[in-house]
Amino acid sequence: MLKIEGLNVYSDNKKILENINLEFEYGKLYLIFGPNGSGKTTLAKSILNDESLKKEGKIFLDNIDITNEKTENIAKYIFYSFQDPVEIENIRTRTLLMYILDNFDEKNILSLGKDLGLPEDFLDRGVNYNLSGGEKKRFSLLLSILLNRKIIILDEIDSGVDIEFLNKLKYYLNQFKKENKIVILISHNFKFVKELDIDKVIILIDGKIKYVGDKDILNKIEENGFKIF
Amino acid sequence: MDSKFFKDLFKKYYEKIFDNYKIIEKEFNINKDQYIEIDLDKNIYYNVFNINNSEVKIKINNNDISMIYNEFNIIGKVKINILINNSGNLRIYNLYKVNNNSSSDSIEKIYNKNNVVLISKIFIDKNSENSEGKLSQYLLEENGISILLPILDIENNKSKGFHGSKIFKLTEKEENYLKYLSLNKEEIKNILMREFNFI
Repeated sequence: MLKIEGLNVYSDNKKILENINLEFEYGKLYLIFGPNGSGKTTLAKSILNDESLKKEGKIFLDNIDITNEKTENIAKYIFYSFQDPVEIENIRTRTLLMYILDNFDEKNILSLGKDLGLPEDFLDRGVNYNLSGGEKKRFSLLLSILLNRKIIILDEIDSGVDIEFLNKLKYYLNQFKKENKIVILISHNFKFVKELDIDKVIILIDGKIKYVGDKDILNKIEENGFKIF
Repeated sequence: MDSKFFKDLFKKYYEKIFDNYKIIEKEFNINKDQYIEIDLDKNIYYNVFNINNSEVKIKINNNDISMIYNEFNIIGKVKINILINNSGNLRIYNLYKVNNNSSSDSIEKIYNKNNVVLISKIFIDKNSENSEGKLSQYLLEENGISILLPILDIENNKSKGFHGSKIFKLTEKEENYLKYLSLNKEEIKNILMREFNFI
């Protein structure tokens, strides 16, 4: 279980998140939903103890306090995919994967890359280098599959991508659940998320949790907007 | 050959200490692929490489105050790959003289942990037609100060010169991305080194 207790998060001395209390269980898909600027990405990054954020409160992973643990150590258990992944020209994707994967199986990786719609030469390019926005999302999904972390946080991975990728994403989200992972999807995409087998929806507005419950709430938000909160 | 020659070459980067240095001259005639390793000491090294249709790999190691001048006379199709491994205070001048109907593809990799001034000149004289000189520089620094001064001196308008350089460094954002993939500082440094050595 991933447990967040009494979390307040500050960035540049400004309070971004207030009194966040959440529990995430294995084998479930969670949707974090909310308007722009509500603190969704900040919540995800604070779980990984991003250096740019100041925190109060506690975060536990399987009853172990990870609140102040280094990002690179937490990342051994939690995969986070950035909304806008950075391009790293000086490091080839192949070299990166050889370092971070327990088993670098080139044939398998290329096959998976092809299935996800990545360019044929992606292993020989810089990490995310010269990939389109949609291709960067595909690479993020590839990483989430290959790294096999127990918790996966996907930050707007469903934005700026085509229907073919969305279908693949839907498939893998279900797979991750079957593999008993905690899956957290941050999204704005009503149409896509309504098709998912979501266990719990978390609505975040202005840094506060306004709702935790089932996905029926999405229809109400779609009709009336966030003002219902 | 005296210190004035080197003063003129290096100008403001020349230091008085070099006046007292011994000048060691050597000539290499290269007609097949070769690997050469040079360890520098407190001397001035003057090397001439006459290279004919070959590939040469040169590794230069320095951990003192040294100077090296390399003149490459290029005939035919030549590839030169130089790795400069510096933890001292180094002045280095590489002159690539590309002859008529010849081409050079040169890579200079500088791994610098202290101070280096590298002047690299591609020279094609007015009589050398259909020639091409290409220079690619890659810099990996570890708390060092590097000054790279490339010069293209192409006197014949039927010949070409190219230069490109790249610094092997990661931005904070790039480092952060790698941390999110569970890499620590040491691992990030090792990956960068690995990529640098791959070139």
